[in-house]
Amino acid sequence: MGAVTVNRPSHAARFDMEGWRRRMREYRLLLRLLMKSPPAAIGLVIVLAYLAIVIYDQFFVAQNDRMIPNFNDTIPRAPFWWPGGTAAGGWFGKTNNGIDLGDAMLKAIRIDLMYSSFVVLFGALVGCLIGVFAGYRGGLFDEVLMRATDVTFSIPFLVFVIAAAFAFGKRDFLTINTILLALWWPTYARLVRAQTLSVKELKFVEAARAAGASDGRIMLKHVLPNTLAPVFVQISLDLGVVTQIFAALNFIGFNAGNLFIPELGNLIVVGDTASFTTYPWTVIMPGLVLLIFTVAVNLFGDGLRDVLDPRARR
Amino acid sequence: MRLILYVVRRLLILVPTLLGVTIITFVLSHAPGPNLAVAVYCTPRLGACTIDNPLLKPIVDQFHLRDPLPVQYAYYLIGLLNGDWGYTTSAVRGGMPVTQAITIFFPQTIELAITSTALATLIGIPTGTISALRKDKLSDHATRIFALVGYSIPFFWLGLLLQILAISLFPEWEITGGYSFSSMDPSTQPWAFVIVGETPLLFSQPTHFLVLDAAIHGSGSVFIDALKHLVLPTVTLTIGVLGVILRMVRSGMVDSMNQDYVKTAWSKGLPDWVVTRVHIRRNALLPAVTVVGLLFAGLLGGVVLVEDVFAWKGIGYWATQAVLQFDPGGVMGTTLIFAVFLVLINLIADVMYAYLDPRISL
Repeated sequence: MGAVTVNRPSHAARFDMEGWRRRMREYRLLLRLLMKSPPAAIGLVIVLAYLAIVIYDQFFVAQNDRMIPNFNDTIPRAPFWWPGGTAAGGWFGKTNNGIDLGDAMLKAIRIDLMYSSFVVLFGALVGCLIGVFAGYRGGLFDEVLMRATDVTFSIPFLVFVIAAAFAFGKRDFLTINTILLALWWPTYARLVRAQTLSVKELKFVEAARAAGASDGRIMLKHVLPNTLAPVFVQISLDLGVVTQIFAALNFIGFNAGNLFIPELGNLIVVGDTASFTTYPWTVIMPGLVLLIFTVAVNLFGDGLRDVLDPRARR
Repeated sequence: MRLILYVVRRLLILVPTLLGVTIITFVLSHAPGPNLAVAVYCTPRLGACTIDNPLLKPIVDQFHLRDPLPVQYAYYLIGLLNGDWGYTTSAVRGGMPVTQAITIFFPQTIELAITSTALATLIGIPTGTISALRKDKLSDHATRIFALVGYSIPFFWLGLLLQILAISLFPEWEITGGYSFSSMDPSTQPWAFVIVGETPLLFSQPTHFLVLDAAIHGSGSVFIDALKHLVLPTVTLTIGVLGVILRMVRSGMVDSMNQDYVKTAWSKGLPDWVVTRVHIRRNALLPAVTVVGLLFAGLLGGVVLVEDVFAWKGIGYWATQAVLQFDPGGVMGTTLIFAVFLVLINLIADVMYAYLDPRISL
């Protein structure tokens, strides 16, 4: 009895070098188009700078998850370039409890960016999968999903998060993150579903079905990649939004039990408790860091939208 | 007639949405478990604070705490429809019914929302028009940068920033801080207050908007005081909303300027203002109506923060206080009222769009 062997190409041989090159060429073209618009280029550069800070923090800064107070010198000091500032303040000044703002903001950027990009990417992943399934299959699941997103969209997001935090009975950092993770998919599900509805009528999907591909394969390999352009734009715009929501939640008191967590909203609170009218820089500096990031992300996102929208490429 | 049918259909779609919202609020307020409801009533002297405590049997029976959750939800829904929205303890010391708290706090939030939306629209539409007409000129770039910063800026930080500016630049205006109570006193201005328990709460008659009511009652000092305190929260919200409106109006204008009928209008020799106002702007503003719903969602989220920064006693302030003071009734009530309000605004926006654009098939 001779065993029947099917001569399947091994995984390594199946790696499609030519396709990979083609894709890289396309990305390079996108990047070149993006760099042609000065605002988008500026946005990209600033976002990359923030990213560099995150990496630097992650690997080269000791104790990068807490702010270091100095209880011997608790009065906020102005940065040296501030009217009336002294050299003791350093470049960015000191905030309440003798915390050095430069050091704290450096750590805060890491925490804010890491958590918010985690929330956005996870939401995008879940939303894409749910959206492509709903759009492709249709039927009852689709109907229920649309009603569910209607419901989530009818409650202002911040209020929803606050209420959900109440239901958990906790207001700490981890709970807030879990809630954001659980609530951030409906936008993506809607986006991908709408795209799927048009993509699934195209010829190549029909061809794939005729070739005997399973539904799962068609959804993941043929439909999903063709719905992703608006998702990337939404991801880039959402990064700024989630970072702001994060800071806002910390600002209204959702970091119970962790007063020394370096987070931009928390830093504003720390400055606020030391009378922000007397020491304005304690509030202005962290907010400025947040504002610059959001502006950069918005610039980049708008540029990306222009590039990815073929009608605007002319 | 078709419009009426459309409105009816839209109202029917609202039913599952609102049911979903009530399910969410029910789950939210019951998630801490039945023992929470019992804990409100029991003291350590009564023994263990659980629903098995025989001394608490009347309360357990009254609130149906032993029934399965779907049955409890049915009771909850009946209560909501009968106007029994529960009791809030965070709004004022001693507590009050949620419905009463809503009538007191909601006008304050609406006052902020209306003034800032109106202001943003009044500034935004002309400025966006000019910006589109002078595309790629200096004024256009300035407007676009302002819009970009406007929708990127964190509301709470902008509020603090404006307070810093107001205090350091115009200290004599006294537009920050609370109302000056020398001119605001329950005994001299009985129309402006309602006494709940022992606490006087700002609740002016008859319109519930302090500025208008002060004008109606002819109280000049209160009018000026109220107006002064309205400035900073309104400006904060306006800047945020203005960014979105400017962007929308500008891109809509630029799109419709490239249309064929606009070229025809120019070549007919129509005067500038006719082409701009009648041919371009009217079509550019149409999509803007649909975004009003979206705008309000953002605005209401912003209201929570702005009210917190300025200690403005509205629904948003109450919502944060309810969570921080562990008040289920307050959380449920604020979430529900925000949702109902937002759903209604969206409905109005959709109906208006259908009414304004005859191409929409109803």
